[in-house]
Amino acid sequence: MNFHKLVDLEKYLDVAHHVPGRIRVKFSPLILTKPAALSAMREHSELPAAITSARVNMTARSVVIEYNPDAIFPDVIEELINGVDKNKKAEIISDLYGKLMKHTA
Amino acid sequence: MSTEHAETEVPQQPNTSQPIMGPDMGQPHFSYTTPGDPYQGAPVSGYVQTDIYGNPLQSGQPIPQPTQQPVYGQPIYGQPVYGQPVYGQPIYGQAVYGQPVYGQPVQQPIQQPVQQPPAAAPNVQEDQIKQFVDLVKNTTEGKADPSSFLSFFNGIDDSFWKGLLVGAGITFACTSKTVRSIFSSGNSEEISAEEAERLEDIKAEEEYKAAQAAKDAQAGKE
Repeated sequence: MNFHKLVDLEKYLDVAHHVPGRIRVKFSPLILTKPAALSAMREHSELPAAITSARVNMTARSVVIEYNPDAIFPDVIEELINGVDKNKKAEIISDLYGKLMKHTA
Repeated sequence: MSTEHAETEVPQQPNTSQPIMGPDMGQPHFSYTTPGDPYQGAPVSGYVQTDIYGNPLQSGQPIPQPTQQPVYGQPIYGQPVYGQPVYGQPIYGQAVYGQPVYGQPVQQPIQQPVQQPPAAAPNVQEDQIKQFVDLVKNTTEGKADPSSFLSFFNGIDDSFWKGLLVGAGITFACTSKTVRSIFSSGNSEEISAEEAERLEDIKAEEEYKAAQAAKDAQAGKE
């Protein structure tokens, strides 16, 4: 998985609300036209263990993700949301992906 | 050669469509009489006034005034020539040689009638609309009259139906959920869904704060 392409998708995403353990992300419908997003959804149809629930509201164009704050640190999420450096964001996503897949396995 | 001034006589001309031009320069005159003319200028003593039928008037009777028939606006006929009254003479032409002198009456310039704008159409449409409104009102009140419906539908024209269809189409478009969503970009449902999500966000934040407070209290006790 190319994490840099996933970072490029951030222009279609906007974090509406975040508290440790719950994050709501608003998305643009245009993201569904991006191959990177479609491949990521296709390859990981099952949720990792660290994510307790995921709910999509198409009307509000937002997705609510509840996660285990002990497995996924909220600070990492905040850095991913507020950070400017795209390379750093790619590294964060890569680490998260590894942890999530490790837990899944 | 006579030195006496001879009374000028109007030459007898054959009947033509043109008026006879004499010393009176075209002024009609009815002083001529023809054989068989009932209105003979019979020699009478003095000046005898007659009525329009040529009957001598009795003394004391009002003098009939010449009847002026307005022919195309201006009375031409009946004008006396050489001071001779024309009482008893027909209005149109004096027969000369059995033919009318003037074949054509003098015509005044015909004034074109002022064309009024067709003001009936807008009034008719307003009446039709009012009639339709009254019909609907009576129907809703239970006072429907079939004869009034028939009279209404018999009197309306195509423009009313066109207006009715256009109005119905606009009303459908404005009230249709699909069309409204297109023009409003579906904002109404999206706003309500967004508001629901925000309420969930607030609820989750309060739960998180409550959990944190409880955790801190637990930690403080310890």
